[in-house]
Amino acid sequence: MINLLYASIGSLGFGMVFKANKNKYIYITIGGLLNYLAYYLSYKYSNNIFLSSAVCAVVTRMYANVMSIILKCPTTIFTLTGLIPIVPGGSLFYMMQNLVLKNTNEALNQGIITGEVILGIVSGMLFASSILTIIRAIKKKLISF
Amino acid sequence: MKYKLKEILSLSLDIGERMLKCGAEISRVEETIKYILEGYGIKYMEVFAMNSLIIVTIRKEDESYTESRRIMHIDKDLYQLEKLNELSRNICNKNIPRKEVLKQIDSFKGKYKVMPIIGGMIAAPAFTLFFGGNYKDAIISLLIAVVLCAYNQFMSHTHINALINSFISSFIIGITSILFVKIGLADNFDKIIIGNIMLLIPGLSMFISINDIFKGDTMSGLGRFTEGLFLALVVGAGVGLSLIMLGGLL
Repeated sequence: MINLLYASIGSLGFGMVFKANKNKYIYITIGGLLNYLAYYLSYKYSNNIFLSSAVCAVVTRMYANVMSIILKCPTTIFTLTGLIPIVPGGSLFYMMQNLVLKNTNEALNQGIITGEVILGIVSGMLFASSILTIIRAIKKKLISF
Repeated sequence: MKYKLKEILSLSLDIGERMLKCGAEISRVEETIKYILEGYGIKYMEVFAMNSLIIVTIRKEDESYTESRRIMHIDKDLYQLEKLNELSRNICNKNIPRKEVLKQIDSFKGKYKVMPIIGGMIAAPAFTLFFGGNYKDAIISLLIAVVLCAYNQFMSHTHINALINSFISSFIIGITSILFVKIGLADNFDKIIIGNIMLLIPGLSMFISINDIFKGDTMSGLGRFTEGLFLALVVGAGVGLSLIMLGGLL
């Protein structure tokens, strides 16, 4: 559970690395927290890495969109920093380490996890952006009527 | 019309170029340029942006002008992006001359110089702890992050290729963390390496590129996606090399 704290601090750090505006720090921290919370809960109940990374990508994307409407700023600020805690840095490293140590099976295992997370995030983003596009299109139709 | 066509064209490209350099999505850049040009009363325009190039042509009666900008390297700067967004919204409402716009763009530049270093110093230990390291590891990973940020700051003036730069940085991370563990100042070299690698891994630009693809910019989306994949491979290779060289010490 303390990982939640570390994840949000990490997101905040990345907000600084990408030179975000000072008054956005608090929202960036919340974004990181929400992202890891979504991952943690969905992983606990489904035990499926692919599904849980997709869920947390959707959550982050939605959060970014809501925040960008409220604060009137680009969504990039929140998607870039919010997705950080689930970026598969750990499994990428373990894959490399096991390749060097000639543990091919373990390396393959970690490689599959890396791929799973990446594909999960990609499909989550895809799902979220298709929903958002449809909503936007319907809004335009309604206004033009 | 108050301004010359050429001046309007250059003005819109100045803003578009800066936005792309700060890491905006392609579609956002194209839309911004279109809105600005419309705000200045131009009806016929062709706007095309890619991850490394922007071309804009505007027409009015029998006059037509084209200008292009080549974007060499992208340095993420969310503060500038936000401010540019505001500025472009203002420009659409009340037309300002180019000199004023340039002055405003320059005033956004280089506001947060120390922040990236502090951010790295916060993020690296946080991720070392996140992946299960102890407090000793976190302190060492903070030290390495300082070295890494100093290296990046030093190299940023030379405009070395980002791939080579990440390779060298990940190699430095690997070597230093193994040496620190060897001396006995920290316990888990893998956690230290992971914490610092997170600073280099560009997975983000990869995921943002998906947005580009689904807004119709397949070319630039694929370009960014491939860039991200290669950067991940290069980081893996750098760490792998350091493990091969010093792995026997452990």
